Amino acid sequence: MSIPLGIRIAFAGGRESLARNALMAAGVAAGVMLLLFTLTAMPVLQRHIDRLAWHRTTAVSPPTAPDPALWLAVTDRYAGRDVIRVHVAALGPRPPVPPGVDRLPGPGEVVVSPALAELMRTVPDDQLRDRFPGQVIGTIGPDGLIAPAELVGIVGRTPEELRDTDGAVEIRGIEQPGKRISLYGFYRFLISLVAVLIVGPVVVFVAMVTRVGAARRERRFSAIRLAGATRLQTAALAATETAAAAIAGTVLGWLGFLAARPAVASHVTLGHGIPIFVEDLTAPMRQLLLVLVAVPVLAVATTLVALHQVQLSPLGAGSRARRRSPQDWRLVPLVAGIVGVWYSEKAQSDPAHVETTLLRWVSALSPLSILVGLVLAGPLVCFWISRVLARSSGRPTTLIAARRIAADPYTTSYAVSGVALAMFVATTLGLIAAAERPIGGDRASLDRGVVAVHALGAPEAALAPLMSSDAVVARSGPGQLVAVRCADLARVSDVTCPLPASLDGPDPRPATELFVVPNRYGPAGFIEPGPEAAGQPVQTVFVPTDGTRAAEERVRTLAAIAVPSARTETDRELTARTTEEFAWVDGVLPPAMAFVLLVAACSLTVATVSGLMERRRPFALLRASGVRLGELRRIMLLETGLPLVITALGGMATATLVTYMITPAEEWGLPDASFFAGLGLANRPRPDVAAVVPGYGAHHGFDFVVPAAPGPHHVAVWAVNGGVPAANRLLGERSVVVPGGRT
Amino acid sequence: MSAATPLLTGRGLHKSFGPTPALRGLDLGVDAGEVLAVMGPSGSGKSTLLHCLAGILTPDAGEVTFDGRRVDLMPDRERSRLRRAEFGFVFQFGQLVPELPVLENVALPLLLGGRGRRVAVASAFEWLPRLGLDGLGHRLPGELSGGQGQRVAIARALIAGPRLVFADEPTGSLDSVAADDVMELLVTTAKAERVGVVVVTHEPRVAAYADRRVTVRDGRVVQPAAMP
Repeated sequence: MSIPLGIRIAFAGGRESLARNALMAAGVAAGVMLLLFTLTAMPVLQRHIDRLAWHRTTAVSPPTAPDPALWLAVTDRYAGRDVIRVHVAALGPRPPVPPGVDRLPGPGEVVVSPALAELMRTVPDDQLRDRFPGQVIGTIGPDGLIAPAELVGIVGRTPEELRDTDGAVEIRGIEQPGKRISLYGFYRFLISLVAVLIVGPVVVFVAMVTRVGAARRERRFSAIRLAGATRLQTAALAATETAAAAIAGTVLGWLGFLAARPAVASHVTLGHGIPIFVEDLTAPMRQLLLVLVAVPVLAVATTLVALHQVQLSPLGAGSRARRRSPQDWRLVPLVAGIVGVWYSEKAQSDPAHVETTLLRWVSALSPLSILVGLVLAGPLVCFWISRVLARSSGRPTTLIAARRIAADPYTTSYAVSGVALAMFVATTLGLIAAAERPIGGDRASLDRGVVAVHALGAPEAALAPLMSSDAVVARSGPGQLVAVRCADLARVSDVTCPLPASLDGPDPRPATELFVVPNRYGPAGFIEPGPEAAGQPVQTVFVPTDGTRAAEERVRTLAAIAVPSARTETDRELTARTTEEFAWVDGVLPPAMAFVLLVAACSLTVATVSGLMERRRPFALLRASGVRLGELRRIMLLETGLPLVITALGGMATATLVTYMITPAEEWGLPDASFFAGLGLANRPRPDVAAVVPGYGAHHGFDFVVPAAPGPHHVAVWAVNGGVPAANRLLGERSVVVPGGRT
Repeated sequence: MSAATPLLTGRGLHKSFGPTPALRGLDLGVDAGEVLAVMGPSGSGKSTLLHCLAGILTPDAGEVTFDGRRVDLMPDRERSRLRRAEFGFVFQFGQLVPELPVLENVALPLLLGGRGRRVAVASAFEWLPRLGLDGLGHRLPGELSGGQGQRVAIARALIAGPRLVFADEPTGSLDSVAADDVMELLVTTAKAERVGVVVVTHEPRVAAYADRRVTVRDGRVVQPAAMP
């Protein structure tokens, strides 16, 4: 009886029942979607590693074919994008074959990815196509690509050609997928933290959604209890009613997840700047089933717990005993979590520390304890707010708001706890992102239009097409020293002379960065070339161009033809290199923050709509007793807005404290007081800057006075990014002495 | 009260809410088929008495016996069965499920008792004309007048064939005409079904429908009220 009657009660009752159930189903659907996308995170990374497998092929890759092949993989660039070029030469009739192609291309044959084929059609051959000598005989299938838009080509060569090419190796097999993601130490902790931080608010949100219309539901079930329903029957009715909406919401959420996958995949780039395959955005079957079952169960459990009071009495919510005021113990989990984080960080930063089971548990449970603690502490905070409100003002609206919060601080708190949690998570992620970024420091840069061609020991004759009169040649000297005339190098870059002879002197980084090639050792120092240098192999050729993209890409193409293994870098790429090292921060954390803020927005929406439904009756009574509409609005603002703002600030403060504890001082992302002392907006025209970044107005210069007392001061200049707080950068700092009260 | 054993008896009932005593050693009996009015001023404890007698509240001390069984010692499941099968309730507010139409509200005790929906609704349908509710079976409670709502409550209270109906201020929200209408229906229908009624009221006009009246003040029965 209970199940059909429960369904009947759930969906009878006209528009309001429909709205209530629709809201609950929509909330659950949003929660399920968010959870399922969370579950795709690790599979996406794993699939990415699997897709990258064949790019990791080396001479020691396990055999996968009877015959060997020669193999040279080069990461080239075009217009800021990676272009993978693999030169291959079969050494027998059955060589190893990469995924996505049927056979290894023979000499004079080329296979390319669809995106590369399309790009080749749209740009002149001397800027891209000529880097892949031969006839294009086919395209690489999805199995051989890390993303649909990946630029990759496989060039067939003769064995003789490749044997003489620096960097080519003999392989017996293609590296196969299956290498598992292994996360150690800090990163394992970080991923666990992010997972807990993201899933936690979603679970709270789902629980909150099931409380929509709770007061009316309590009255309804108390009436049914009066008619003779047992506790079990009432529980069954409540469970049926919630389950109907929750199951509908879960199915909707699943369908929404499937429908939203293409849109989400188009924004997931994993640091490559190109979207991943939609098929890679898949939740593992076991976890998918777990979510599809657990969410309705969680919704039903929340409803049953909430109905516990009503089940006790047929007189219903009206006769429910007033709940005790929140007690101080509610702060314990929050404090314990913070102490746990502090302890974990302290123990792990100790050089002599041993990874114990206790430490692992503390590391894993502390963030969870903080999340639970924030939820538990909410009612206590709301209770404190009500007391402060009641004492601080004699206005009747303030007093009514205070009394309404005090009467049920639990409901007030749970309505805003999702936002508080989201603020905690978003702040934590933001500060982690800030801590992971490089702050300040000098970097070398090439002059505009200069292309660095790292020939890596290629014979000078092969480089003849690049040897224009203004090219600067750096050669490989003895002991990993680079032989280059500093005056020449300064002509194409911003290095200062003399160049450091070794890495032990003053910061050698700016100069050495010009010669750094991935997977190779950087130079050990610099020497001025002597007469014997002419016979030394070429390390790098710096080729000036007119700065147009076409000219730069022509130089790259010439380099690829002359020295297949050459790596090239433009001035823009060199500047962006440091940022690219932190691409995962840009790739992962902003979506995570957006995700959490989305949860917050959902929570706030549900809380607002639910609050309006619950307040209808008491506010009607207040209105009947003469309270004006404006006063009602003020009461509502006070009893919802104030707890919302204060608990959200509490979440942000907790996040700041926690990240401060786990972040090394030199990587701490929030600036100190000096940051705030001299905040100013650009107020002077800088046409030179405006020419480089058109569309952002003419004012890029600064001219302002910071009042300061006479005496010594420390001045720090920050570049504040208005769009992405984590991208703030310390430009420089120095100490000054103010003699007359102004600086 | 007759010399025979009352159908429902409360002896030495005590009940407090926190520091506030509501019942202080109250004794009361209700005979089968009797219409008893419990009168008294606001806060005198008459509603608490009704809730204790009906097994909705458990007295702190004393005993409630219904047909020889101790209601105050019954587990919740058994009390629920009593409310469903042997008691009926007509309260001032809140006893109807707002989401269910009139027919299903009336049929609710039968549905909860395990009857099939078709049978339960058919039984409910038979009750509507008796209480002047023809044509209102598919309306929701929110679409009824106060008097109509109370008549639905009476039908629901009687549909399962109870032996006692508890009515707490059943006319409290009605005008005098509707109040008379409701009380007339309640008492005559209960008499016709040989059902006893305990009606709590502070209105002499309502109490006048009873066979017997008692007055409660400060948690005690102070006197059997005089019949008009």
